[in-house]
Amino acid sequence: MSSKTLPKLHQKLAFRLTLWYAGIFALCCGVTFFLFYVLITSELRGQIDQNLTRQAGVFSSLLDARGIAAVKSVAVLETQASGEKKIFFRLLSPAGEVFSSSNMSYWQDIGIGQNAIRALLSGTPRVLDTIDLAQGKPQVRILYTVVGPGILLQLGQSMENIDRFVQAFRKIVAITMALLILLSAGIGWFMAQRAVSGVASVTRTARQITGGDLTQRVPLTHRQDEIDQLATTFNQMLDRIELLVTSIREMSDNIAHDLKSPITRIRGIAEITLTTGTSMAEYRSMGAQIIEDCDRLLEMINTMLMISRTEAGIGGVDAEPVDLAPVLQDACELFRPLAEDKGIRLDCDTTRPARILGDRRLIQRMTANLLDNAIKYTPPGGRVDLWAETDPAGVRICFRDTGIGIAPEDISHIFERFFRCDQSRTQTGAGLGLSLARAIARAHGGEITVTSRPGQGSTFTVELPQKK
Amino acid sequence: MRVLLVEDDKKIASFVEKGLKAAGFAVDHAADGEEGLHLALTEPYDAAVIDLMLPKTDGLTLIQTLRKNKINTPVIILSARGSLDDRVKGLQMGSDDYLTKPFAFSELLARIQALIRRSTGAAEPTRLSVGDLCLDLLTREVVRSGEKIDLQPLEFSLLEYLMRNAGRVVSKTMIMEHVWNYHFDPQTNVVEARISRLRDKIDKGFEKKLIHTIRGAGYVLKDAA
Repeated sequence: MSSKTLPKLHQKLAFRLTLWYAGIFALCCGVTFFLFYVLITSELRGQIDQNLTRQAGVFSSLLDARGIAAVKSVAVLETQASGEKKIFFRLLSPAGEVFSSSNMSYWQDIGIGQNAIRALLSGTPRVLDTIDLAQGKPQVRILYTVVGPGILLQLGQSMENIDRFVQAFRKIVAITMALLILLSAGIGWFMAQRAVSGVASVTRTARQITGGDLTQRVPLTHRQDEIDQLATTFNQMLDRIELLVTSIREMSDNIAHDLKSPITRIRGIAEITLTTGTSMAEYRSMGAQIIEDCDRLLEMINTMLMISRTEAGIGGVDAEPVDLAPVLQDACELFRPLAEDKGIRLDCDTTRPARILGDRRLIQRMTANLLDNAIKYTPPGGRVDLWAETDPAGVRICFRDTGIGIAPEDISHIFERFFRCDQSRTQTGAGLGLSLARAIARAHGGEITVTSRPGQGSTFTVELPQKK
Repeated sequence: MRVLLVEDDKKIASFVEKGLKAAGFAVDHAADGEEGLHLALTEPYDAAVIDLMLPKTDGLTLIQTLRKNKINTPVIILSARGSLDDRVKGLQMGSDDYLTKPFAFSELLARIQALIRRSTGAAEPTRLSVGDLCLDLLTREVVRSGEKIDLQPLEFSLLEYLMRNAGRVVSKTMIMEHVWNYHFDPQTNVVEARISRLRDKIDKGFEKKLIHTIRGAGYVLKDAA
């Protein structure tokens, strides 16, 4: 593998998968931590609020029972007990004047919320507020409430425990997130590598094949996963390509052979006539022979092209409804004089309806080829029967002859291009007729089979899917 | 009848020209698209035979230009490309017929004559006759020298085709195509067998034979000594 064709890191699928994996993982963790944070801080604030409300309640009942002086002294004691930097209180007149407070030296920045007092005076039982102090000091939670007639209470509590929690939480989150992201990237990379390793092996095989070795196959893992499916599909494609390449090689050999002989003939006759010909009749004969040979060559080339086109499925097969009866009858009419001349009885039974979806011209050609074949290999006095029948499995066209038959060892080869049982090649034809017939049957989703007894005759059966 | 031939292959052009002249046409030959276009625009022709791959101006452009200039001379395309797409394209561009190389000259001739017949609007005959042989297309009766001849439907179609092309050679492929609607040539000579049966009915017993075999090229029906 050259470095030139190696994808850059950011182009690699595994890298992108890892990135996605780590990103999604980090996002999920982040969201979880955030929700956790919101939940805990609101819980802690709730506790402070509860505490403040309880304290205010105590002051309120104290005021009812023992008067303002007792409230003052208890409040002072209370703040001293909790710590003067933790809580504070102010007792206010409805006008907002302070007439009593705890030691406010630490809390001097905190004023009196006029909005809160207005809200209390208009009937709100209590107002809660959070205030940011100067740098370095924790936030303060403040409660305004009415403790007695004409007496308002401002009670504050430092939120330092929340601040401490938040700081600790941040530290933990930062460390955990960093670890988790690293871990997730690791896991993601591992998983992505595993997932794409199969693709890499397919790529390797493809590279080797580009180098010309068509026998290579992608190793299967037999895990039946997508990569295995890809490998299987890839291998199937290779099988098909190998088959095609082999058949193209064989075919070009055959073409070379079968084209060379008529061309040699054409050239030869032209040369001989030109050098030794004396009469017009000789020249006429040369012209005629050349035309005949050229026509034969042309027909052969066209047939070969047609076979490869049909086999490769180029252009596809037309799917028009075709009634087989007239096609078979026409073919019989076409060949009848030939059969009669040879003393062969030709029977065409089209009483049973048979319809297919297909290309009329191709079916016509297939029928003609098979009938031609049957008559060609049946000796005088024999008979050829042609009929079509329909059953649930499909439509069958049968060509039965009492001809020379096919030797068992030849049966598997008769549909190959250029194959002729008769190696002396006394019969006309290039050995393409059956090949084309099979290509046509297959293009229609069907198949041709043959049963034969040497010396007694053969039956060719074309099976085609029925018209639905 | 005057025919314009636009073809850059000298050998093909020469045999087409020779064949057309032998068939009684006056032929002008242009070796490239520009010259062809010039001739087609300035001279009146009864038909034009145009190759597609031409130097300077290609065949399709030539035909398109002709049609734009309201010149409706029937055009037959000669081309080595024979796919359905190519044919359709050629006909869409304004040609009237399409013949794939390699072709039989007899087929080219038959097509040119058919095109000219169509464009001059000659009336469709109801009777065909060659010498003492008469074929009535309406009653489907065939009579030779006053003697009625019974023909099978296929034999009738074959004779009709030969008579419509009387005096012209028709190839096996042409017969397969026009009489049987088969677009290929079975290697076994089915046409020959059919012709020999037709001969038995038409020519047997008559001194003057009407159906002649031109070896290699095909068959011709003519009243000749």
